[in-house]
Amino acid sequence: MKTNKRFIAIICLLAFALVMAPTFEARSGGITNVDSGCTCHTSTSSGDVSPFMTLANGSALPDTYNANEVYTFAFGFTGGPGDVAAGTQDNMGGFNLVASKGDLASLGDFTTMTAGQLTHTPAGNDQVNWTVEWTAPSSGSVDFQLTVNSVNGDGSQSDDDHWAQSTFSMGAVGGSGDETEPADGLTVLFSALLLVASLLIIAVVYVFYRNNPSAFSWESFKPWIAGWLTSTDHKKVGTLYFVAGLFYFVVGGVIALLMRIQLAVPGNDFLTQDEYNQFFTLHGTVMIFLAAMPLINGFANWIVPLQIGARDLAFPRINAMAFWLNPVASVLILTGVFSGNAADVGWTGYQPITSWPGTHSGATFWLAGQIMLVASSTLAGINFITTIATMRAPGMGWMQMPLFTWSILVSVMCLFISIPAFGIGLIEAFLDRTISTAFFNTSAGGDPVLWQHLFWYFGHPEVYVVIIPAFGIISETLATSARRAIFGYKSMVLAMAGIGFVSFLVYGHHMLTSGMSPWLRFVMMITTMFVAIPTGIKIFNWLKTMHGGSLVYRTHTLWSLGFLVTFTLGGISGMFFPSIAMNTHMHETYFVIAHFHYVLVGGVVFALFAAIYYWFPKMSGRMMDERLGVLHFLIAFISYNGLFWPMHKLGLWGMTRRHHTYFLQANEYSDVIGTLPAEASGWNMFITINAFVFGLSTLIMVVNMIMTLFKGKKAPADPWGGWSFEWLVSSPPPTPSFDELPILIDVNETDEAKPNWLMKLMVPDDEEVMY
Amino acid sequence: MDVGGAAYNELFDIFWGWSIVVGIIVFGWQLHHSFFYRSKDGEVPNVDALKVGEFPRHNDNLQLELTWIILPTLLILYLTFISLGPASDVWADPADVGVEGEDYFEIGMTGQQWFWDFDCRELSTDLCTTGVDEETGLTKLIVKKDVVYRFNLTSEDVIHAPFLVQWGAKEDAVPGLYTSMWVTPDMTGEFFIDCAEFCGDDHSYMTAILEVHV
Ligand code: HEM
Ligand SMILES: [Cu+2]
Ligand SMILES: [Cu+2]
Repeated sequence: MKTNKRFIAIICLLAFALVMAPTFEARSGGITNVDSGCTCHTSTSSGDVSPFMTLANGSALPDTYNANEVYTFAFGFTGGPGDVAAGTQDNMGGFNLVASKGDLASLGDFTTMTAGQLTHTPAGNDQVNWTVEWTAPSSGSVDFQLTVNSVNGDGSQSDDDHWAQSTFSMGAVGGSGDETEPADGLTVLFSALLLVASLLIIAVVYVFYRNNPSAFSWESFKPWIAGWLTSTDHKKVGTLYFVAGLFYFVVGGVIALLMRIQLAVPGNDFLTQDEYNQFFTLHGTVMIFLAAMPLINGFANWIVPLQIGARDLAFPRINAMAFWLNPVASVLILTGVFSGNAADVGWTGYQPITSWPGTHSGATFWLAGQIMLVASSTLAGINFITTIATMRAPGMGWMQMPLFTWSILVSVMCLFISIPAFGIGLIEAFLDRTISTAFFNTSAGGDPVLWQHLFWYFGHPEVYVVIIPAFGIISETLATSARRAIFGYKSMVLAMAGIGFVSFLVYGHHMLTSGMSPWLRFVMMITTMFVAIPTGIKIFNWLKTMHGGSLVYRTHTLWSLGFLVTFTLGGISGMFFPSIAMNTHMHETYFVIAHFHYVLVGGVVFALFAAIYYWFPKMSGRMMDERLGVLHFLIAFISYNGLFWPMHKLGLWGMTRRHHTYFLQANEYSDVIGTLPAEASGWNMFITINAFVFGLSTLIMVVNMIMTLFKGKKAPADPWGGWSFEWLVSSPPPTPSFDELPILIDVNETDEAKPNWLMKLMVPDDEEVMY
Repeated sequence: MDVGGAAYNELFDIFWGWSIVVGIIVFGWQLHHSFFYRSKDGEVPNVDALKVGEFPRHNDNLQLELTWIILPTLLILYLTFISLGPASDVWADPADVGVEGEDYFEIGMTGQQWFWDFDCRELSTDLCTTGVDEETGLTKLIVKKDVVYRFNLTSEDVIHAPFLVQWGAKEDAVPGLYTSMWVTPDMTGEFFIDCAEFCGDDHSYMTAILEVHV
């Protein structure tokens, strides 16, 4: 079979690429290290050099160590060209020492720590043995890997230079096995993820079982699951996006809760620094790229074709491909998390830290995964723009599109225009890490601020890419709940388009303290202030929509009203940042964390919850349980505010973000080095407790969704009384969604005369007939 | 202890005041409508006669929409205007401040993984002294109260950012680039310098001490 061979070839190629990628990490020999360290050894190790390692007094390394004790070791080598009497030649040798556990610390001028490893300084080159201090860990056996160079002193690389490598091991003091180990962050994470993944699998199997209990066998499961995995139907792909998004929402949440445990009390050591750095990186990346975006894509896939009366998206296969890039990318992004080697650079991946030798190898895969997501977003962008532009039902001009469809169009446009910059930046960073190019390498003339420009040119529109669909959702849910047409349809569309447009002009507000030209900072400050105007229009229009209406309280109504509160608060706190004299104080503090969680969680996630309660009956054909919904809302809304509101105050007190701990004014280390008042500790504990309540409340919704699938009341075609086409088809909709294309009637047409010149420009010629 | 510096505190109070005004308007309005316009017992009147497949009648009012375009614009213009003055202090052009060595003094500050290195250049020990704090082992800078200092920042490796919480001063220290941060210490005592830009493993412990004397 030809296809099969091609398939195997591709798999082999991918496997090859995966295996080769780390070996191409030529950083240490590359430009970065030209003036430090000794690169004068030959390619193969030789037998005449023998490394040794002993205690400082010369006695052999003990078999076991005492927990947390500090040891001093002597180590070095004998043999080879460097083994000559001291003082007879410069440049005798060099070394590199790595300990699998515990902490190495340099002693004296001959050695230095770089990137967690001990190596020699230029002065240390004139030695054949060195010393090091090592603080033992609390448990576990430890390996020391020692690499030594024995060189002939001519200062250049030649075949006469020899090297060798040995590993020395020590065990923990035996017999203390009964001592209970404190919980380890990684183990907790692993168990939690395993649990989440098993629950997902159980849920899938259960859904299959309940579909048809009598046909519960592998033979019938195989075609069923294959149907899902290979489908190009917009509804099925939408559901896949949805499941993936929800899954990663829980993953990102688990990681966030572990971070909150670490921060619950000052000076905590539940997570190590290194783990914490990986966790906030993955939390940010997972939440934005693997949870929020797929959930939005899920709704876009499901609802947009239904709303505009199209049978499917314009390119169904491209749609499926855009989705399937996601799971692959997510594996790459999370690579290394269980071995403690995941990306540790922050979701913004600032340079030069991302290309820095000390950064974990997982960062390479993290970059690769994001490059795939760029491809995925580009494909999805082409698809949605084409679909919305060409496949609207007869009678639906641009200005008759439902607002959710408008929001997806604007958001996809923003993404489509901004993401190439990000893609380029990522590829440059990837090449820096793999084949030692020097785009961001300052010692070779690279420019780290360039990355910030590329990233934020994408990154700022990106946050609007996720919030604009939320605007669309709220416009739908709130208007339907109030039984009114949305107030100011045209100004809503213009405001969305306006926000989309300005989003490209304001990105520098993330760089107000970056050393960017002061002129540019002034411009960015002014443009950013103006974002508030279109956002304000939207908020006031929503409020006015409720005026004179008849609010029917459903779960999605509650979430929409909740959204209005939290999004407005997030919008107000956002107004503080562009003011430069305040930005210098607030930048990179928890005030920022509070602000963007108010817009990302209180804005995007709340709107997504509203959308779930609003459209789930359409998608599944069953009504969700309103009582559980209200319970979910009440618990989540209260704990949400308890979780993020106090962070504002912490930030103003000076608690900086991306720190694995914080210092109170008088603390165990010193009475001078802290900034935070003593209350900060109590507030952090309060935040952590609320974080757990908020995190767990999400489970109520998941349970509600799964129960609804089987026990829910059958949903009518139009349960809430909306006007757009998705309410025309049955719940769940048939495939293809419309047998016969619906025709939109615009009740305003009778009172409006001819379309004005602007509308004429925007309406394609062949649709002119409808006027 | 007061944090953030004078300009920040002054602006913050104004912004905070206006936030409360905006908050009262928006939330008052929302609270009123949420209860006043709720559908009474089971009654679901279809106010705008929404019907599936029909684009509903426009619900517009140009005057109102213009009102909430123009009023916020005025507020924003005002807030932008009051932010401009203090902003130019943050990045004062040295030429405007005066003569180096008379009106202001330069101190070199270099970030390295993971400590701060200070360089007093040719300043007298009264104006600038460097040292190591005995209790904590952190690097320490000793300066004089009410003197205008310009920190000349750079980095040896990755990007760092000193954060002087008391004066709300922060600026990235970028490898291969010199940036500046103006600080006029107006309190005496020992203060904490933190790192605000993620810089790797020991980012949270990249601290130094600033001592201000009269
Ligand atoms: C259970 C709910 C959540 C909790 C408890 C939580 C907690 C946190 C905390 C404590 C940080 C700061 C880490 C640090 O700087 O040291 C953080 C960062 C962040 N969070 Fe969340 N978060 C939650 C939900 C979300 C959601 C839903 C999103 C996005 C849709 C999100 C996006 C981010 C981003 C982008 C960062 C910045 C990461 C970075 O600094 O690189 N979070 N979160
Ligand atoms: Cu932004
Ligand atoms: Cu730092």
